[in-house]
Amino acid sequence: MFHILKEPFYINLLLLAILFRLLVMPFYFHPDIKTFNFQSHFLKSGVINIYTYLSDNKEKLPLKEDFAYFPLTYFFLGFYQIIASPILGSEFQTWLTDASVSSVERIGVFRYLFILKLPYLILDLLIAFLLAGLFKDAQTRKKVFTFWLFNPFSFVTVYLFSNVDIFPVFLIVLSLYLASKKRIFLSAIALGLGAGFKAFPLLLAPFLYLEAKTKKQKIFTILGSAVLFALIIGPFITSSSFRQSTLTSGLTTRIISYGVDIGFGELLLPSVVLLSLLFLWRMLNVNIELWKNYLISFLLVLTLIHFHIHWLLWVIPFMAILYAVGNKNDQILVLSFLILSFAIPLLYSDKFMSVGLISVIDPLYASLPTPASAVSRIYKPEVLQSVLHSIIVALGIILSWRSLTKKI
Amino acid sequence: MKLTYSAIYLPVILLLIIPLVLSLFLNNIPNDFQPSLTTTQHIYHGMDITQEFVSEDNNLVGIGMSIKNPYYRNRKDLIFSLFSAGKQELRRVVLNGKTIKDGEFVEIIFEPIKDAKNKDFIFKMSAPNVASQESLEVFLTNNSPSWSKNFFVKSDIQDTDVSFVTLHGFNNRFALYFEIIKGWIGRFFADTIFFAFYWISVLILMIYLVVKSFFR
Repeated sequence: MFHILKEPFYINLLLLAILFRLLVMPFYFHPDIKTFNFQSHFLKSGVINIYTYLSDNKEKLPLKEDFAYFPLTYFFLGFYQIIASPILGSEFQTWLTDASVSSVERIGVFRYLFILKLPYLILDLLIAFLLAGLFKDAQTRKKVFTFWLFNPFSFVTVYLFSNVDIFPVFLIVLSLYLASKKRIFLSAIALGLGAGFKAFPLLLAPFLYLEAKTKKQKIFTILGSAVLFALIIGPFITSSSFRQSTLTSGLTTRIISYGVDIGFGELLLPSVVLLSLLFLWRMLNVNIELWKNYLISFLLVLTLIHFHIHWLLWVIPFMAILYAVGNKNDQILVLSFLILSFAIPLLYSDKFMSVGLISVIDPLYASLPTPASAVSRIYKPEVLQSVLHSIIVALGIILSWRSLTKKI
Repeated sequence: MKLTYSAIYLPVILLLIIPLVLSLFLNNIPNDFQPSLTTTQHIYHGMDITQEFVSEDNNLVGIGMSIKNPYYRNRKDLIFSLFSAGKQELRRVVLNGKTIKDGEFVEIIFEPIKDAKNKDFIFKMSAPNVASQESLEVFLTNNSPSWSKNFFVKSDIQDTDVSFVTLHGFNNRFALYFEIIKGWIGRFFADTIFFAFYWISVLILMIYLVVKSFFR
């Protein structure tokens, strides 16, 4: 996988990509990174069940949000903080527990953001190598490597919004890479571990199951993904705080919260219908490459729900593949999809989708009106969002179809 | 490969152009962070509020505060009056809930008061034609900053204060941008060890890349 570094092209590109990332990492701030790092710092004090701990101590804690991620996120971030604590410094914990808006002005905030984003940098760069490792053709390999490292979309998602999606996304791409090397069991483990951070990689497990050829491989696929996931969440499943914060929140409920009402409280759920269709179609047609299933599954889910901007990261590695193997028209479609998808969350009335992100440079910026409030002077921003969302559904359908005509 | 070239501008856009462009939209500067919000106080016929404060800077152009207006229930005028310490009315602004979203941070802007630094002021908010069920509510705070003085509901002094900031105009937009950059670099430099480590890493990478491309 790293043998490509023998070529100066890749070394230069990699160093340039690192430079860009280093330049931006300390200077953009989204409050989520502080919130989940605040929650994860309790690992140092020996807290294992963060869900129950937060719920029991909500009254006295400065940040009162639930921990909305799965246990590996907590353990990984908590463990990383323990290792990094000598360089984070003694004031880091004070910053974490400072819930006031003025915490963005604290001396040391740039150091904290830089160090907290370092694991993201490593995984981000590794994804570039994994994607390049999928291709034998030298030109396409260069294309995918370059797209991943220099597209503004993953850059913005990872280093500006800085949510934890990079962990499962890395493991999904690793799973794809391992599957391409016929290491199906390890590939399933990667998916299972990814789901241990956030549940969405589990959506892909049925397609990996179909990729397994023998009965033994199929059993190992289930063991590696679903059973591993069950083992990770098993110790917490009896905790009602865990169930409320994770299993019954966020994406899980968003996929199943709307649909066509067929009476008596029953809904026909479009995402579930389409995912099942894709699965059944894949079952009947063995020639569909795994990356296409991954791409189409995420396109189906994301385009049919109100999404968070960091969820777009799920789809970008597969967009990078499509960009690399596609022709000019495919590339235009990929870029159009990504541009429009990123424009939608800009219209949410949340300062930290836009102007608030540079509040560490100066808190004055957080006092500016959001793009949503600027648009609202002319018309309802929700209408513009709806138009854009409808267009990305159409683009998603076309991209899914185009991907089916391509080959790695 | 075109993406690589466009990406060269990404750090420039993110670190210089976006702060510069956004600073063009800044119309005033708050004197402080808005104090944390707790409960609210309704304002309607017979229920006036009065807040005393000291302006920390010259060029006072407004007051910013958070206002509750569920389902745009208020459609009648609310009068904001600014008084000097001697109770002389200096400015008057009329607000209406038709344009105020629930929970919105509202900037009440008036003609600048140039020589305002360290002077005492009072603002009063009243709504003589508004019934209690259609009132606007202002958010209060328990964390009163030192420049915020007494707060009265009708004529009764309260333990809390209105959660507000004073807004101040500025003369030169570019001077403001450079002040922002200066403050940013100043805070970055204050963490000396990290500042040195960061710039050494960045410069080594830059020099390597420049030398490589020069001798290619």
